[in-house]
Amino acid sequence: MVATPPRTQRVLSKSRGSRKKSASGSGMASIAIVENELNLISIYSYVVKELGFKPVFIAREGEEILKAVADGRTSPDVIIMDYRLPGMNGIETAKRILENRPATRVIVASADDSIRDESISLGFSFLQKPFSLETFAKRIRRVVSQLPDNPSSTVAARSLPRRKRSSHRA
Amino acid sequence: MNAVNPPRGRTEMLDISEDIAGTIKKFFTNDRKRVDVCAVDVTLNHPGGIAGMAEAYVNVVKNGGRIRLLTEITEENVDSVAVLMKSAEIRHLPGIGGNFVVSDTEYLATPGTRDFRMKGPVLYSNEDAFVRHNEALFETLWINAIPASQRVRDIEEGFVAPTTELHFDALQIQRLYTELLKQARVEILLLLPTSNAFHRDEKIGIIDLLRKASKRGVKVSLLAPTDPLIQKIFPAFEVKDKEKGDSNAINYRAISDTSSRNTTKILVIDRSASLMIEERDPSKKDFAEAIGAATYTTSDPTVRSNIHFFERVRDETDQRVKEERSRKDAELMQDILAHDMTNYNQVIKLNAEVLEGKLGNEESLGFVQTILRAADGSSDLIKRAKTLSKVLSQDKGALHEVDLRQSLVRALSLVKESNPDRRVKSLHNLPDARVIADELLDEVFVNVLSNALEYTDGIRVPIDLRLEQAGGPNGSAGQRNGCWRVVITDHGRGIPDETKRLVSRRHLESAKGSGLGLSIVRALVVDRYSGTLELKNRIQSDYTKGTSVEIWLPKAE
Repeated sequence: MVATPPRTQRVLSKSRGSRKKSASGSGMASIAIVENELNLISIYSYVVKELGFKPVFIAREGEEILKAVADGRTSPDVIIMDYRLPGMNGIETAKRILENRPATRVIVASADDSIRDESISLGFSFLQKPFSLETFAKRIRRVVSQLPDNPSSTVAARSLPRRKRSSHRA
Repeated sequence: MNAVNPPRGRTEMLDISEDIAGTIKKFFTNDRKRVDVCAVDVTLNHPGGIAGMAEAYVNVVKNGGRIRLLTEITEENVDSVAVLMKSAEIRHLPGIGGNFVVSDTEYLATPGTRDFRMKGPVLYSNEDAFVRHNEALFETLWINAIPASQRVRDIEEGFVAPTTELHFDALQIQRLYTELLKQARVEILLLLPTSNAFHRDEKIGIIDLLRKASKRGVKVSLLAPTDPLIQKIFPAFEVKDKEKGDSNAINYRAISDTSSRNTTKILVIDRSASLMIEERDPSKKDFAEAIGAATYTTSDPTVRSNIHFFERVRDETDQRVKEERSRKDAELMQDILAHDMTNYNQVIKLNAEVLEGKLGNEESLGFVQTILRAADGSSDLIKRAKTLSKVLSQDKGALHEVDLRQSLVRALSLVKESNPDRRVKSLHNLPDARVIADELLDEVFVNVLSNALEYTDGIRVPIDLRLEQAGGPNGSAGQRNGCWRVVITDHGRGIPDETKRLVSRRHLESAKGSGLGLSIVRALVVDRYSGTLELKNRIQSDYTKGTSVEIWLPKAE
């Protein structure tokens, strides 16, 4: 017998918001990922794509995305930003980006709970690691839905089923 | 006129025509039971020389009398002293500045000079009161003097007698302080008890003198508390200068303020002399106003004692710095470990959840879910370890009034949010209660409630929460009057008695058997809040039917 269809499939179903016109005018909300851990970059990219968004830029250091934004090589609508990065930290990087691109939305994803308050006070969305796929997906959808010229108040994430407990016990 | 036998009861200046030495000699010719002599020197250059003097002494002794001689024994006169020692008891007193002789009936004083051939007036008295007065003066000097045998031995062995001086004049002390620093050839040890002392000394040029000494090759060690101004003015005054290879740098260590146990400035020069300057009023900005008496000494035991004190303060400082560095390193290591492990857990969690969506059979799903549970368990462990570390490392000085009911409600809410797939059913009616605790109180209840969930099988988790005053309806308060009692009872798998006993042990020992959760609870409740913690079976005779955790916390007044 096939197992109950995992919630993951529904969690990762394409978001209607993804097809709305993005702030950059590309027609699809663009998302940049700034993360030092390669395995996280990989899974974040996968999730972003599965949600129907476009991972436009990937950086492993704050300075890298700052330079890319300054050069015009990328104009992300949303940035998923780690905090502890080599060199400039994630919050400082995000603040610098917002100086020139105030419409950019930032999701700070960090294991460091001590920066929660600062992140929120700066208007960033804060996700404390480790978070679930469901939480991650919901947060990305919510942030995209709040993009300035994205009429995405209608793009609320679908109601997601709770994770089912398997009868299998370790 | 007979200079030595005037009528009784007279005190007068004798206008003697003969030499003074001769007069003194006559003094010894009378029958005497006792003659006490205080002499500037005994290298007598009078008729008969030292042999004549010795003869006079011998006469007194032959007639049953006793001779005591106080003088300054030097390398120059040590041979003469040896001759006189045959008939007289002699003691050494440095710096004697006058000559007088006192017997049981007479007193004679000559001018303070070494030239006994000079002619001049002599003060003579046979008045009883005058004689007694000078006897007492002699006794005072005598008891403070060193036996000649010791002094002679010291001279023969080349021993330099130590000097100890007490100074009260601020200007003189300042002069001595600076002179000593200028004279140092090998090493300077300087301990300043307060940062204020540093600033005062800096104003009178002491720090410059230290720098100059360092430049001429003297090893300079300075211990003083620091402050922002010192750090700003002397950024180079750090041990790191030594590490940079600057051998002429002052070896400075920022010590804790020692004013509570030591208010004395200690200077040791070349390990042979020390100057201790009392801080009479450490708050004063001016050197002269701040300091009290000063003691200068070359006494070896005292100098060594000062070196020992200096080195102890320095070693304690080094140890403190070392411990602080170790603690910071450990914290950093722990922080990096927790952060990186959380990142790995994040990778595992997201990948496993994605994989979960791609698997087609229940068995495979079960394996993935096991991975997910393990990742969650690992994340939870990291979080608890961080909390415990925080509890153990934080100073508990900042306890204050905390709303106990709100803390319980917050903890319950957090545990429910963190476990959306469990149905926590809590029965409670909590009164308003305030206890002495801090912001970590929530951790107590989060950990107890999380344990209840962890050890309860099934989705439904019944938990009974009670909050009552000591001496309440159940009358169980006893000696815990003045406490609030929180009872959290679950229907889980329970805690074996042996594990319960382990929890009563301190800190991490209990974690061996029960995990970090109850260690955190114990560290907070017992060690931090001075409360008590008891683990009981929900049903007394059967631990497998659930656990009742009782926490007693001191009420806020």
